[in-house]
Amino acid sequence: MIEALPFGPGALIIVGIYVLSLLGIGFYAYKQRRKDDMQDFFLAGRNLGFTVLFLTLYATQYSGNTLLGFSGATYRHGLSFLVCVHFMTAIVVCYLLFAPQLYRLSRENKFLTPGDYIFHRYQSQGLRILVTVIMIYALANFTLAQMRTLGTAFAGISQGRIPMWAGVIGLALVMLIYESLGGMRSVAWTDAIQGGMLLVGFIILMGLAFSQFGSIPDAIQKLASDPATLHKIKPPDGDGARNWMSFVLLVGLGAAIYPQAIQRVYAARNVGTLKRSLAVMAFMPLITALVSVMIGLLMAAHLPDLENKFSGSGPIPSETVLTQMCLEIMQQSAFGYWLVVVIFAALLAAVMSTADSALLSISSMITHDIYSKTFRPDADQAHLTQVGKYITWVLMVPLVWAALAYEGNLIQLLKIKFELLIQCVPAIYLGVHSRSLNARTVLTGMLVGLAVTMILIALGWSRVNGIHSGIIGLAVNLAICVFVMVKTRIPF
Amino acid sequence: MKNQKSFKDPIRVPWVGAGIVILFLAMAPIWPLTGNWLGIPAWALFALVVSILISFFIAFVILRVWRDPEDQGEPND
Repeated sequence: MIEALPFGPGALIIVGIYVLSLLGIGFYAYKQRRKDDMQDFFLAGRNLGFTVLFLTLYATQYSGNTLLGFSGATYRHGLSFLVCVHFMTAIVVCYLLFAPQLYRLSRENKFLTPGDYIFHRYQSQGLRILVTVIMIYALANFTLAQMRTLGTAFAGISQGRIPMWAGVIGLALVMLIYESLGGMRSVAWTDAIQGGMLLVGFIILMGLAFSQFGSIPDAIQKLASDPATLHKIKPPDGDGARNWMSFVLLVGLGAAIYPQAIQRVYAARNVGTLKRSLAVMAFMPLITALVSVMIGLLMAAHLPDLENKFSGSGPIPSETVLTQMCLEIMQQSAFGYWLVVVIFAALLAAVMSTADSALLSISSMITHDIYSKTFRPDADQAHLTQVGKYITWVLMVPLVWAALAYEGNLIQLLKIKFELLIQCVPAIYLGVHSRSLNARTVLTGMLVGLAVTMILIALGWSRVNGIHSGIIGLAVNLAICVFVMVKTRIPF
Repeated sequence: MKNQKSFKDPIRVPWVGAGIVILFLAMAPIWPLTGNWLGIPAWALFALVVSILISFFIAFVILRVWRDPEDQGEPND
């Protein structure tokens, strides 16, 4: 349905200028580099100021899925998807559980990756590798999802003038070039621009949604008056409420320990910068996720039978409600047209900013935690930085291929990323606070937690009474760790 | 760790932990709220208000309770 948006050549020119400006930022970041080492390349020399740190945190955390996925899910499930505002807020709450201690440790010990903290705390290369592999798996999934959205967004903007494969490969190349030039510095600076565009996009969307489709109380009244849509304003039932709580825990605990998020904690110029950035982040769900919920709700009232309609390739998916809204707006006036161009540029920005951060983080973990520590412990910093750049390019090949070609069950398997990632929670959240935990206990807890989660998923019980299998696995994992902590009784 | 005395980890402050737990429970859609408030289902508006409270609470804790000796309040941008 994105292909149905009537974008003209002018929109493509605007997007082209924006993409070229990213290359310019990459080149500028390259000129600003201070040393040819991994701290400078992967953490921007630990010198990110408030504006850049906040916007890179924001752009990395809010992806294309926030715009398309959240509005679509609200269209399908109604007000019960208000849970997305809560789980995005929970991410900041979860930072509070470990970031103050982790930031101090990272300064004292010059951590580069989450694996550095794991090794420092537990002195176990095996545990470091297990945590790193889980994180790479979660991030590869994340990047793949972004590359697929990139293709869809590009198809919408180019209107078939440029083949989708050429657009995805072209945009991937642009990301690779600016990332190879300036590393984290490039990524954070481009994120700052992309985060700014995303914020502007959401503010425009909020204004447009209310002016075009009326107020939320009107939409709710309309949904309540139709028996077919009445369920969209009802509170969740017992299973739904448990699923709500489980969702908040799953995303809150998981997204806060995304490696690219942890590396942004490391990269803060000072603790004041980090505190102010996190404090502002606490309010972002209210002007981002909440806007997507409102769009989904307004469109549920405006186009209640969208999913019963068909386009050329089958039923129209609910993820296109934002596109449907944009289509109506851009057909009304030239002003509306250009506003929609800005919104789609913001969508492109959201996708690229999330993908480039994830890619850089994967590259840093493979280079530092696996290649350097296992195969080349004597390698110098310049060599490792170069290897990191090569790895980024090599990684992009299967990701672009999968984004363009693969439609199989791998995608379903990849959806369980959070369920696996949260098995790292005790190692990080408990590890920074307790001296009682040792590598053996954490490793045992993680392996049992992973096994429980995978077995439940394999048996078709991805949720048990509304609770995600990953949360059940984490409960077992935590029980093992807490049992040992209580038994050994070493004070916090 | 150096300067441990002047470092304050907010999560070790009892009322911060209690506040997070209370707000986490309050945000769940389990409370017997019926009817509409301001044209919006009461349960949803209540959940949203709790979310806003959490944002303010967390921002306050980050800025006022989390204390680190490195934080001199110097310009950083």
